[in-house]
Amino acid sequence: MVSALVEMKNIHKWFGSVHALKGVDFYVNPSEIVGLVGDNGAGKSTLIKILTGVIPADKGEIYFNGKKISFSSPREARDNGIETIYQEQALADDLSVTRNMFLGKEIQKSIGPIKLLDHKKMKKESERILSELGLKIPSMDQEVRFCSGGEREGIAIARAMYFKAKLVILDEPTRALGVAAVRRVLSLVKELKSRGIASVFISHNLHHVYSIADRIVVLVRGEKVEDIPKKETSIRELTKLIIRR
Amino acid sequence: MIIPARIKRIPSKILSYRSFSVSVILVGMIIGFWAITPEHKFISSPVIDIFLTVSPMITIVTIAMALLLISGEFDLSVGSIYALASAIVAILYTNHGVNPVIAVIIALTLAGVLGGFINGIVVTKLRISSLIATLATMWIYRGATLLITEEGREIPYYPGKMFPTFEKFFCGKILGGLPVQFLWLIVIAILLWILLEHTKFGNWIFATGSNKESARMMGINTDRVKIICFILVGFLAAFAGIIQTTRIHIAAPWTAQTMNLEAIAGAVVGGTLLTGGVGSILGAVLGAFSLRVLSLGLVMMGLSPYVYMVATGVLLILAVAFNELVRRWMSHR
Repeated sequence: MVSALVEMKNIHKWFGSVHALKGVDFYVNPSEIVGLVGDNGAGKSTLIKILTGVIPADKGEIYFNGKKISFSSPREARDNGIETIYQEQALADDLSVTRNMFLGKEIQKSIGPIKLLDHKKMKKESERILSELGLKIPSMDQEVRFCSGGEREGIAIARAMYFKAKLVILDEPTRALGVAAVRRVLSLVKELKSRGIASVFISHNLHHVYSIADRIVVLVRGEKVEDIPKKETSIRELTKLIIRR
Repeated sequence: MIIPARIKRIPSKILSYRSFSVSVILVGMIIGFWAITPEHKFISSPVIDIFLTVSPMITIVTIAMALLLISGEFDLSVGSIYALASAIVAILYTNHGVNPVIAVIIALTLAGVLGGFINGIVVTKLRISSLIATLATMWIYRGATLLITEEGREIPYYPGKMFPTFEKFFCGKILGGLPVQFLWLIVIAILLWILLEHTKFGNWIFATGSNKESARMMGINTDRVKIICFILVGFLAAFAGIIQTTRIHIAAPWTAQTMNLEAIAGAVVGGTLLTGGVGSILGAVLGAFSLRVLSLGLVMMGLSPYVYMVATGVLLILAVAFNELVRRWMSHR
């Protein structure tokens, strides 16, 4: 058996008197696509926030690449190769595609002792990776606000790929997208897999999750009620699980 | 062929420049005033000379303000820092006989760097909005100025008597009559433009103002970005105050009381958004120039300074509406 890329063991979280996560075990294998589904308030986001260092767990252990870790900030998680893509937070609207792609990891050129941005190279690299992924954005200088929802999701995914993330967490990546855009995003997630990058796909939409996930994890009111390879289940069964309790 | 394709893109490229609308406004006003002032005196060497002499100080503060606005904050204390810095140099030099170079360094450090740093810390670490934080420091720095000048008395400052080169360094004339302070403006504007457009710190300023959360996610220390911007604004406000005091040979503790709003207005006329993430140095320069041209033009027409107040308000609304129109047109293209 392959050793897991990420393993979370017996995770508990209380918000006041609310027991939001009740001893959840969760793991992701290298280059696996895990669908994380559940109703509102099931604990999906809480689990992910704990993994990426946004909030701490009250109990439980997390292993990344076999090493015990506890990230204290999203930045630390990112430095270790875990990239989280939240729809609203992923990109800065007023910045160009290129500036967003390289935000925080800008390419520079030296002019004597002074380091300036290498706009040309960053633009070229952005163009290369986006066209590799089949994203046709008219201009790399275009402000991201003028990009469609699917394009924005694509830019964020491309960025994760370019900087060699090991695990990409996608929080509702298909929400508010049209049919064509959803298809594009789903194919990008598959592209992540083909490059050996694992991903966690969080969604309300079982059809979207079911179409690409290797394995599906169902949370209901803070408990893991199912953890099953996709082949062994169906959308109908999953739906029952989510809504029955 | 590369050239024809490039030429084809020129119209949309011009429009996409942040400073497009303010350029139109500025050129329009210059032509307008030229046309209506008696004997077209608006474009004559004395008027241009006045413009080059008096506009650099407020313009320097305006471009610094633009930088801070792009990072998502603003600073109401610039006028107080400006007055405090000039009071410090005058007191040290005139009352205590301190070498003027040292006096300037002390004033830039205390009023400028420390003043800006305090603003930045209060905003980012105490999490007080910059409106309240810098409103408070506006009074604190002004109060300090009045305290050290003994109830707001004006202090003479004439380092040029003993140190003529020192004075020329701030406000002499070079290249056959160009005021040195205008050269300072050009140098500072170019440096800030490089910082904003061509360094990674500039990229972080834009990102911090545009979407703080996503900037944080990408590992940018947004608090540090803001603190550095506050320090830059403080430093440049202090520097502008020192130029002014050196030029008029007096430190006036009550000076520059509306400079904060004029600087914000200039930056906004130049296409900077109060919500952060959008703006340019060139736009801010042209925005500040527009306000100066407006005031000079009205004076040339013999109108009361109060007309200038009304006209500034009108210009502000028109300029912002025009900016918005261009932006919207761009997005529907």
